[in-house]
Amino acid sequence: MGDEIFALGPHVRYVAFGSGQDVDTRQRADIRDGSSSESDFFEELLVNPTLLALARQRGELAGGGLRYLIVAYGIFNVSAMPLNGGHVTVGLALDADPVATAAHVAALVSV
Amino acid sequence: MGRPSEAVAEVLGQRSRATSGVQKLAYDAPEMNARLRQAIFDLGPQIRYVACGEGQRVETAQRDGIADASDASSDFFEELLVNPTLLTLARQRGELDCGGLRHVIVAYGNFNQVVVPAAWGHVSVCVEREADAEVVARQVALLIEQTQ
Repeated sequence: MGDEIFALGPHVRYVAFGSGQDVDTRQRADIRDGSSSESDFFEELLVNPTLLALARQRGELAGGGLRYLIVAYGIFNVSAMPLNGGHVTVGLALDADPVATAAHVAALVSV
Repeated sequence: MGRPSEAVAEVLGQRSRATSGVQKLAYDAPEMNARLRQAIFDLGPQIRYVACGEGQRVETAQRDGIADASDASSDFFEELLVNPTLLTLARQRGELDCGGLRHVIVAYGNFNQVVVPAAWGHVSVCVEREADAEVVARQVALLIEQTQ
């Protein structure tokens, strides 16, 4: 699955999967301005599951559920979405279209 | 404890109806950021709803006649609890080593929600699902900058 997401194009910088206490992250080799692997780990363990849980609760209350989140950071964008009781996160180049890419990733992971 | 009750609705306070096809739901006076709100609605019909949050103050306005709208009480608690929390957590992570936070987009099943931090709180904009939420987020950030 990670390979398929990276194959979407060079705008995909990073792919991570999280499930419970398990985190698996991969980053494209030529990324120069990436965040540290340590902070990435804690982002996948703490931050993104919390963002998704909160948004899912709100979406299931009165929003038609949750499809995905996009967080626009200063130097890249991140798309996170629920997957099999956990989540998948995709880091994107700043000049890539995060909405289109999130839709592509959602289509890949729903197969 | 269940969903928001009549008692909660009473706490939410008064509601009023504004002109020009936008229903304003004011939970706290005085009116916040009227010029910014109108400028965001003027971006086009893809804008369904605009809210401003500042501390415990929340003001929401919704375009008339939109489909699949969430109810006003859940919108209020979204702006009071959910969106400030999303922004706080993402900002903390962004300022660690991601160059800060610009905005968050939540793709719900029925619509997309764009949440943009402001110096005084946040602006939350609900856009049609088919609209480009990233473009709207950039436009809203610019409008916030211009009106501050």
